[in-house]
Amino acid sequence: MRRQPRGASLILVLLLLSMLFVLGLGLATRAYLGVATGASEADYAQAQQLALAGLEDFRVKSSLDWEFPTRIADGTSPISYGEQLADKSGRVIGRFQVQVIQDKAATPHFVYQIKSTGFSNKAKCTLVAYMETEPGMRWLGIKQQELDWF
Amino acid sequence: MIRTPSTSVAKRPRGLSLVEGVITLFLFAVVLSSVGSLLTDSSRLLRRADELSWTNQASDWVNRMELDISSAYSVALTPGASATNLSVDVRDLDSPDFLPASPSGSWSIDAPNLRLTVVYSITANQLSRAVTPAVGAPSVAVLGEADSLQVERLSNGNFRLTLKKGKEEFRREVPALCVDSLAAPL
Repeated sequence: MRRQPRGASLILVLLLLSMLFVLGLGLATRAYLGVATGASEADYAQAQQLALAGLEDFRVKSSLDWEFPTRIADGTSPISYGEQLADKSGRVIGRFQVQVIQDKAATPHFVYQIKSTGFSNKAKCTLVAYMETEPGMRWLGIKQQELDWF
Repeated sequence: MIRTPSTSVAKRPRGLSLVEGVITLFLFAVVLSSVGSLLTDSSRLLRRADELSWTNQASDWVNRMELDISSAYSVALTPGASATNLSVDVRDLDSPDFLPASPSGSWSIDAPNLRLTVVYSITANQLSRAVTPAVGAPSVAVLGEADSLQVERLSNGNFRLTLKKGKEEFRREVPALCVDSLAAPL
């Protein structure tokens, strides 16, 4: 009596293909994660640079314009402004948003609190800095408040 | 008359013919060599990715150093000098004495009790960040593996930080915002 073929080769080939697929998927996932991590790290670094640029922008503006930042009567409402930055070729690299809190700008502290947030691709970094209103407008300190995706 | 089934029908040969065998072996060799080549490439890629993963970490540490340098009002290095550690003095911005709601008459933003000394150094191939307050014990945080740290103060006042581990190197030049604002008030 003739034996019916049982399809063992088909099962073996399917198993082999499944193993290769899983192996390929694992390698591709790991490579993708590596690239994504590197890209996000670069975005974080750029977001921090943009936030620092926002702080210096505020310092320069306030030194050149006696009316800047606009004085608010009760000294509690913050003012806010932002700018988009581009490289030499005109490509937009990100933007910063600066918020100035003036509730300690007068006596006895004479200190501006400035929050600068840099946005680069999908990362954002918020720095909080303190600057003496006078004399010399020196920075007193800078700290990181937030580093995140948005 | 009873007819017996004929036995003259040729039996189908079992297994593969020579041509089928050669084609199978050829296909098998092609698949095997492709998989081998892909595995070799991917292992090289993964090794490189591991090295770059350290570079990512180093970038993160240098970001942190940059913030401390930017925030520093006093630095140990003079322009043109270099060192194997980074030491800066910063204000303790989280202290209740930094901007108290109702400061006393003797309150000053430059009070010595607000001073924190931050030192980055490498001990036993580990980069660490030590923070020493004006009063109290220092706290040390180990950041990760690195072979060497080189800190140079350039003639323009900027800092050049170089971290190395094995063949990998991460370098960045950073300005010192607070110190610069002291040196050149607007």
